[in-house]
Amino acid sequence: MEANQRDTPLRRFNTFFWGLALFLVFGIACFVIKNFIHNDAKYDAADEAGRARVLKREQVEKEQSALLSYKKEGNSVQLPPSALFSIAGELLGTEPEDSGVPHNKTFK
Amino acid sequence: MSVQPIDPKKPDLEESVNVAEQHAAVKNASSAAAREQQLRENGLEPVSIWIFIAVSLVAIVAGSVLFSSNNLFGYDKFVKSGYVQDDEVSSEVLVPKGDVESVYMVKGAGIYKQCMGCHQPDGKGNASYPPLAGSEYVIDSPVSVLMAVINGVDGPITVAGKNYSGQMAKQINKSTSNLELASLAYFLQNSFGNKVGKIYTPDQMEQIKILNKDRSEGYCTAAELDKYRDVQLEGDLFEPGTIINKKTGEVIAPE
Amino acid sequence: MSTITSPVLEDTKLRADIDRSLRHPVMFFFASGAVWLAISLLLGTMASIKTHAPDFMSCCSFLNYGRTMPAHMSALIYGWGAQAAFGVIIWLMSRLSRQECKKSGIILAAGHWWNLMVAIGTVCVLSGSGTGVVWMAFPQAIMISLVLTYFFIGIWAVIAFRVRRGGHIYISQWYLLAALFWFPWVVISGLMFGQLFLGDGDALMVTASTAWFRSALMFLFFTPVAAASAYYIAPKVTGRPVYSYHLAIFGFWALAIVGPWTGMDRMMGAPIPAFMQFLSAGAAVLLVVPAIALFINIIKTAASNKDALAHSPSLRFTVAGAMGMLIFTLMGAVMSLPSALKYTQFSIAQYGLELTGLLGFFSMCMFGAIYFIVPRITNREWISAKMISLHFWLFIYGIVFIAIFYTFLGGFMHGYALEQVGESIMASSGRLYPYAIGLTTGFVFLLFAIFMFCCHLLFMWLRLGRRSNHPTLLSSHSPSMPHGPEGDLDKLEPMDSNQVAH
Repeated sequence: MEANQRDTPLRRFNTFFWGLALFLVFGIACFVIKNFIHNDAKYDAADEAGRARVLKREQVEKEQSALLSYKKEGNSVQLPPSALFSIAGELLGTEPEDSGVPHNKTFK
Repeated sequence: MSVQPIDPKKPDLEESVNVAEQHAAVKNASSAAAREQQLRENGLEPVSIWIFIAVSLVAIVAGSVLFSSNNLFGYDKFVKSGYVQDDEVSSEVLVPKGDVESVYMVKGAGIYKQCMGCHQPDGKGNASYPPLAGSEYVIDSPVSVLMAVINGVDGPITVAGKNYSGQMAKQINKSTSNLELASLAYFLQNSFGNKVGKIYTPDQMEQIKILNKDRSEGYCTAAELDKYRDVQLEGDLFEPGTIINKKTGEVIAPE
Repeated sequence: MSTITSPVLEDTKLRADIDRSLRHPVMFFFASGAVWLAISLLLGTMASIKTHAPDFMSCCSFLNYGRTMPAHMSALIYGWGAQAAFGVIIWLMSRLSRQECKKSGIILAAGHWWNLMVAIGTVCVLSGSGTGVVWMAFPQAIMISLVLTYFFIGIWAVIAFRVRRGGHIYISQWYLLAALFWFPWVVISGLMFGQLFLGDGDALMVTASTAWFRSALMFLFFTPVAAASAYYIAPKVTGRPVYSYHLAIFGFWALAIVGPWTGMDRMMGAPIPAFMQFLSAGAAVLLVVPAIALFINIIKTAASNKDALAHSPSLRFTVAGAMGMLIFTLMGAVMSLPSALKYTQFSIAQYGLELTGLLGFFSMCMFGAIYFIVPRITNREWISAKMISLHFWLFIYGIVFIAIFYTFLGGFMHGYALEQVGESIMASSGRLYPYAIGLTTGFVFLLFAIFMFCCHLLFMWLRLGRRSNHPTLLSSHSPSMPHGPEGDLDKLEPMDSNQVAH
């Protein structure tokens, strides 16, 4: 039969790589569109609630630490808790001393 | 025999090949391919009108589906926010109900059908039977007319200035429902030109049943009925426009 | 061979050469597809039994409904549907473009890889690692691998089309070319937007994408391949021209225009843009139009030669498939009307519809193509007409059971039960009991039919078919013997060259 004019290696090669290109370009286009086009106006209800919580907590902390400052009241002194952190360890490590107050229990 | 190249212009001179054998070899090697028909796609039947009609029908249905939401770009327009399907909604529709006056009139009229023969459809009675229109035994109190209907009447009686003597058999028995009694009382008191307007509740009919229980069997006499004319029912009447259940007489609270 | 001078015989030789060049990949696709169909129907039967008898074989966790159901659908689509389609695509495109395929080795290797991926995927789903997305239950890596493998199967058909000998472009070629491009588009879109981007947390987009994917795969891949097969088998076997060429053009473009819009009517009422849902519902109704075109063309072509219709198994399956398409699209249209969608949207009717489409329409057309193609590539005839006939009737019974019990009756009953506000969901499942048994019965019929078909096909693959120059037809020959004397291929007398293919 007569030769097929269309069947050339060039045409075959051409088709193969155009096909491959189309295939890959579509996949890459989807990937690019999805990952690099961001909608920044995102509202996350949980994040908003979290933000409000953090503000409230900071305010509570501020007010509470204002109450826990150093104060001298007559013979006694009010210390902030952090002042005792260093000596608390020492105190816990020492032997218990006789306080001089009588008690009726004997410890073995 | 040496193989000579085939001269395409003179194929008949070539003798080294047995054409029939070659052809048969091809056919036997692929008999399925050999016996295939040729693929023809030149059918040019005109597209029949029925196909056009069918396609148009489908397109019309599709169009109606497509545009059945009134707004293609507004989600709010076809979805009710906060909509919750309610179980009670469906059951309420099935309950027969109506306002109390019409329920009473319809029911009372139905009961009165069996009285029409003697007391006439217009309630005016005739020479033998007393009228209900303008009758003091009907208008003054429901107790008298209901006791007459429940127990029957015997003996001479004067109704609306005329004398009658005869007997009325008891028309309904003691186990008639309160709703029916209340309907009948309301119907008689508000038809044939009577306009009493008091809407008795079915619960008030219990008082009549108690009265009935206390008396002895037998027909009511005129004197007894006169006594009952002074007895009024206790308790609150229905407000006009109350909705009640047509079957049980229960009040249905308004929404 | 330059000694062949008759153009008709040259044509025969070309066809035979094309068949011979493609015999390995095509036979492989068909045989492995048939085995996957059997596996998928077994899994489907198990899933269906679990709906009415949950304690049946409850010892094995891999036989749970939640695992067998997606495994069944995935095996049906990617194991049977895709492979049967590939076999038909490459053979049909080569035949219609009159090109031998020189890359059969690559196609065969790609086919083996495809099978391996589907097998791994099915095992993953059965062991619980499925994604849970409908119709895309295989893990993501498997799906990506499948898409890449497809390229190495499909590109050769596109090349064959581009280098075809000039002249007429057949109707089937339009459909095949369209399917070759639509398949990767649909799968890549579904995969990317439905699965790979799940990390974003945009579950609504995922749901809409996968709902679209289901319908798009059905209407833009399975439907065109089945239509291509029907438009080839009907005129080829009957020897008559296709009834109306213009109607075929109209049907093709109707499918191309309406097909991509479908699928999102399953999301009716969801917070996605209103036009998506209603366009899909409208498209579901409009899909009846290409179905009408295909149906009229195929039926009229087949009816013009009633002899062929009675005798030829391929034609019988193809005509049944064309009827199946019309019924499938009509059912889909009825189910998408808003008044019916209220009941069918979340009910089993959707599953029944998918089965009717995949089995009742696509599979029937594929069976018709397989019964035509396999004798040509193995050079043997089918062994037993009785087995073919049993396959046909049992398959029809099965599909009718499924369509009636699950789609029509069961679907609407399920939807109605779900609509009752006072009843619990368990009560509505309880109402499904008889319909589930109907489904299982349908599946049992299908299993028998597939068993017949698989055995038959495996015999043919092992070259155990009848060596004869007469085709296996469904009823006995008329005395006129149009094919000449019957006999074993090796012992035939050389035929007179006047007896050519008509």
